[in-house]
Amino acid sequence: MAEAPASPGGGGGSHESGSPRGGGGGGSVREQDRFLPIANISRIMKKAIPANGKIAKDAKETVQECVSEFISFITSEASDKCQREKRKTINGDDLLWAMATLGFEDYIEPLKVYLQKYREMEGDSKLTAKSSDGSIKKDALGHVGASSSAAEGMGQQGAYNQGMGYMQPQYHNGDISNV
Amino acid sequence: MDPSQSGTPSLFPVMDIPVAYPPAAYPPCEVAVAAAAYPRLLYAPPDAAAAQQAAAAQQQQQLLGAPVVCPPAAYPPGEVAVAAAAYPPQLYAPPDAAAAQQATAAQQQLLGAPVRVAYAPPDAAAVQQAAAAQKHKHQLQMLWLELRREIEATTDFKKHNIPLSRIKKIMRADPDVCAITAEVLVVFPWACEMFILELTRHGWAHAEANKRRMLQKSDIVAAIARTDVFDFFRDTVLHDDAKEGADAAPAAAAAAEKAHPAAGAPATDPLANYPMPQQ
Repeated sequence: MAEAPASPGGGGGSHESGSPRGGGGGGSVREQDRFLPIANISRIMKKAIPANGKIAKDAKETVQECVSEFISFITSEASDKCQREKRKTINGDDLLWAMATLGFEDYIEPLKVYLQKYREMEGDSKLTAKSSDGSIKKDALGHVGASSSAAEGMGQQGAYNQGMGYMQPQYHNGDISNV
Repeated sequence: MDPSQSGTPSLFPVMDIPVAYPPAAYPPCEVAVAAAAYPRLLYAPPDAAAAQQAAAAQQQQQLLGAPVVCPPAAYPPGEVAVAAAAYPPQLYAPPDAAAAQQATAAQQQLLGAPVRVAYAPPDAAAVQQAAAAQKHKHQLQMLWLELRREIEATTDFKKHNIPLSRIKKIMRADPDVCAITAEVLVVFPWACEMFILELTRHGWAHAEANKRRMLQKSDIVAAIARTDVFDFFRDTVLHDDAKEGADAAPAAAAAAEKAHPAAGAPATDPLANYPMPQQ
């Protein structure tokens, strides 16, 4: 309970350094949405220690906060790179570049292999799967975007509009597939 | 006449054998050929030739034995004189002096080595620390190898150890983030898992150093303080520790060990946490 008020403050601080809106957004977001589930984190942490080792609850919570900070840190670096290159979408290469830039070179090689496999699978699915399946996936992504925008409140109206803009091409693709 | 006469007595035993066989099977001509062949063997003894060959072999052996008697003639007196002349110089040029000098130098070198060994500082603690660090590094590499196998073995891209929706919400919290491709959401869970494993492993090394079997928050704080790549977490963790107060001492100690100015000058944290210039 003591950590609950402290965490939003820290989040707000990090966002304030970026922009005032970020601070507002950070404050409004629920704690449940700001952290990854502690059960998943605990399960992964147990892989790194011997079988007879134990993990205190405060250690799990600290790692939980650090992972969220890690995600925000990498995302911010990748987003800055996209803005410098006049692009609006963060892709896998931007993510890997951000990790390498921030000192996590050891993570790059296996993730690159995985990303290549994913892209090959996507290419195969696009060739063989129907466009209707693709539209379904995109609708799902749009729905997630809309829900997140609604949850985040006023600060994310721009995101909501951009989401709407993104959904229109999907309908267009759907129309083409129908014809 | 003689072969025919000698053939006649042999014809009888031959004719006796056909008695047991049909007579038509053996024509008289073949019988004559056989009889003719038999006397040849009887009238051609090869002992003479064999004896002659044996005599020739003995003669050759005697001839081969001749060179054994020739060695004295093969060595002229001049060569013998040369060999005799070469012998005295060796006797009159003993290399013991040089060998003795080399032995003395070697002894001096050997005497010098123990002095260095005697003046070397005790490396027990350093050796133990190096061994522990190497063990820790090896265990971390094993973790990476295992995780890499898991990543390569993954065939279902929808299964993750961390939910994608949460990652997306955290990413969306940044207003500068406009759009994110699906491949980012597919890759990020593995990056988070690697991060959690590395941070936990470093923390566990600290717990082991303190003879504990339970990973505590102070271990995570120490891991962050001791690892350069985790610099950007110090602000958050130290802030929480400062508020709590209970863990302030170990946090301060960890910061002091690293000689990080975070505790003394909080204002410099933003610059230290973000070494890369933004835009």
